[in-house]
Amino acid sequence: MTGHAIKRTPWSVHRHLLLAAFIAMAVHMIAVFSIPRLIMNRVIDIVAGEGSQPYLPPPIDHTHRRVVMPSPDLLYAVCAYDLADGPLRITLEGSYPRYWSIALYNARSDNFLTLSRDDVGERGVDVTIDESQSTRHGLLLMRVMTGANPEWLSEAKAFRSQLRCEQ
Amino acid sequence: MKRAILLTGLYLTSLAVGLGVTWFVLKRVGLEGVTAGAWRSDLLAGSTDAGLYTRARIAVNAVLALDRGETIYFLATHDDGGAPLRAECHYRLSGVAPNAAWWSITAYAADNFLFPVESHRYSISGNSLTVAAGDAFAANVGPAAVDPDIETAGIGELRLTLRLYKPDAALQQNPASLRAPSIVLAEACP
Repeated sequence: MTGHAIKRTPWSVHRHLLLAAFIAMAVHMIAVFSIPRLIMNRVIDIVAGEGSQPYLPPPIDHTHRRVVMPSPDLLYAVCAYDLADGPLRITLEGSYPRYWSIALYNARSDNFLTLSRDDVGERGVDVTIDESQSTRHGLLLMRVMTGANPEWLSEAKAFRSQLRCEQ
Repeated sequence: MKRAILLTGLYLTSLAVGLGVTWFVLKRVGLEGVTAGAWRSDLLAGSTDAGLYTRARIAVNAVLALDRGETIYFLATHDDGGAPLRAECHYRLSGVAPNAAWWSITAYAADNFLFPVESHRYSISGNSLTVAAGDAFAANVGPAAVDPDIETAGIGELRLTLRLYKPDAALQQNPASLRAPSIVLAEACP
């Protein structure tokens, strides 16, 4: 031991400015990468409390402030799933004479599967989702067109009630 | 001491700039994709092929979008003359009902939620206007005072979303071929 202290030279202003620019870029990229996952997690959390059975929200109006850009012409049903609990079996019986669809989203917000009236006709739906198709956490969103028409709404509600999400 | 304070300020500013640029890019920069009249559509909405920015922009502005094969979404934030749409103004929408199994036009406020209107006139559709594909239609958008088909409220940004569910093959192939509804200011804004 010589007893000489190592004197550190303070960084120059240019170095600090470069590091600050790098931090700004890194924060931007991390935010852009993370936002879809964070938003999906938030959406999944909102409906996860309902268990594996579908969450059946009331018809959309201006008091609905859970998910942006809701369509007031559609009736929705939502199932949040965690494939750690096993594969998700989705069934839907009956038919509906207007537009409807069942869309599945993974944790990155990708719509990886959509089934609709044109795809299944009068057969109904019986589909199983496992980890080869989806991330562990995901969301099912069913849309049933009501056109804000009271008669169609009651038919749509009856059809929506046939949806099952089972694990 | 003074140097430490300045450096702390510099690094906090860099964090704020990173977050601020993100907010600007995701909320203020228009969608990529195709244009039809005053309407714009990002064709990768909901797609597994969507890039980093498209995915983030869709998550912020329209999470849970459907793939283009199922639904095409067009967004208008400006009228045909290029002026920003305003909730307090009266607009005339007109055009030809698109070739899709079902379509609608809905008004949203700047926060992407429905306007708080007790009339529940949030949208129009082929069903509400009783028009078939190819038929001409017209509708008014604005505050209650103009007895609109789509009612807005308050002062601020107005966003119109055109949804085309199960668009026909030609539209799916080339969404820019949409005969886009025109959006014209009906009278001077208050």
